Amino acid sequence: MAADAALLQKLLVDTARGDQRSFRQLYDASSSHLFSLLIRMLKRRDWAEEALQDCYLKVWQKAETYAPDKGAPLTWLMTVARYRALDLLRMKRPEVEIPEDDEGRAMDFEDETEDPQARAVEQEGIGALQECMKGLQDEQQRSVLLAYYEGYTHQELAQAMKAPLGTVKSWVRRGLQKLRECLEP
Amino acid sequence: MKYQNPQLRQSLAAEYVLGTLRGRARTRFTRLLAGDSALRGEVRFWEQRLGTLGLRLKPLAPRPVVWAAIDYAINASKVTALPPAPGRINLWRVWAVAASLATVGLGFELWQLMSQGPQIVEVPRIVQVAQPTPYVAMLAPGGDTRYVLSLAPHTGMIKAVVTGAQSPVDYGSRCLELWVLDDSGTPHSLGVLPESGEAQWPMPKGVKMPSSATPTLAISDEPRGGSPTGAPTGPVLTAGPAVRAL
Repeated sequence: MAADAALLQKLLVDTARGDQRSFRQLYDASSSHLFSLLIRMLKRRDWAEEALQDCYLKVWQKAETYAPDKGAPLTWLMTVARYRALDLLRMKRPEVEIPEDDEGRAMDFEDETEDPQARAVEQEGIGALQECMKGLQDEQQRSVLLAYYEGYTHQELAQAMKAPLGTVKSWVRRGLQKLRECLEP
Repeated sequence: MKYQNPQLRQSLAAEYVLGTLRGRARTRFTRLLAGDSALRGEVRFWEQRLGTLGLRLKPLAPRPVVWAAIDYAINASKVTALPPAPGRINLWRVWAVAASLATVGLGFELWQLMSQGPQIVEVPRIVQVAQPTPYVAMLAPGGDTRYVLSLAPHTGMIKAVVTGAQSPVDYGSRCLELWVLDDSGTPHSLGVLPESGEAQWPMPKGVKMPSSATPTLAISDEPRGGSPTGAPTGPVLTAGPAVRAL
C-alpha cells in the first residue's frame, strides 16, 4: 500500500505544477478523510464544508510547499485541515455547546472503526502512536485525544472532563511528554 | 518566557500542534517558529505523529457542491481577474458579459448540485412536464465568503448556499443584500442574504427578471435588516451574471 502514498505524493507534485486533473484526483483520494476529521471537530456540516474548501484552495495554491520530510502526504493534508479547523473553532467556538459529559466521546483505541486503506497507507505512524498511547494513564490519554479530535482548549477540557484546570493542563503536558519519550526514545 | 529550555520547547511544540496552545502564547510561538529551524523540526515531528490520529476516523465523503465551489474558485481566479467591487452599473454589465462565458457550463453544474436533495426513492414519472430552469450564479462578496444562488422565477423562489468563514461585513451591525439589475440597469432588492448555511425565500413581489439571458446580480453592504431606501446605500461588494441552467 506504500504505492498509495507514492501516488498521492505524485499528485501533489503535479498539482504544484498547476495540473487540475491531478488536483481533482488528489481531492477524490483524500477529501473524505479530511472531511471526516473536520465534521468531528466542527460538528456542523456547513462549517466543515467551508473548511474543506479552504483547505483544498490552500493546497492548490501551496502544493509546492509540501516536501516528503513533512511526512506522508495524507498526514500532511490532515495537518492542513486540522489547523484550519482550529482557526475556525477559535473564531466560532462560542456558538458551540460543549456537552456536559464528554468523556464518552474520547476515542477508545480498541473500539474505533478504522479505515483499512488509510491505516495501510500510514501504518507505521499509526502503529507507533497507538502503542505509545496505551502507555499513557487514562486521563492523560483522554485529554490528549479530546484535544485532538474535538479541538478543545484547556478550559474546555476541564469542563468536559470535570476536573480543575491545572490538573487538566498537567494531564495534557505529561501525556505529550510520555508520548514524546515513547515515540523517540 | 525562555525558549531555550529543551523540555519547554518540546512541550510548546507539542501543544501547538495539538491545539491547546492558544491566544498570545500561540501567536508568540508562531513568530518564534519562523526563525528557528530546530523548533520547526519539533513541530514537524508532532504533525507527523498526531496527523495519523485523524486517519482512524471513518472516511466521510463531502457533498459534490464542495468540489464545484473549489473548481469554480480556481478557474474563476484564472479567467476573471476583475476589480472586486465595481461601483458603477456599467462596469457590472461589462463584467457580466466577460464572466458569463466562463460561468455558463459551471452554472449548469451548480444548479444540478443544488437540486440534489436528500436521497429519496422516487416512483418513475410517466409524464415528464418541462419545467423552466432556474437562474444560477456564484458571487464572492469578500473575505472568503461565497454565495451559490439559484433564482426560479416560475416558482418565485430564491435559494442561497453560503460557504466561507471570514465575512466581508460585521453582522452585528451590517448585512449583505442581494440585487438584480433590470433592463435599464436599476437595481431591485431580492432580499437580505443569510449569514451562514443555506436559506430559501420568496422573490419579493413586483420584481421581475430582466429580459437579458444573463441578468446581473449584485451584493451590497447594508445596515442590518437591509437597505432602508430600497436602493443600495452601501458599497457594492461584487456583481456578476446569473445564467439559465439549460
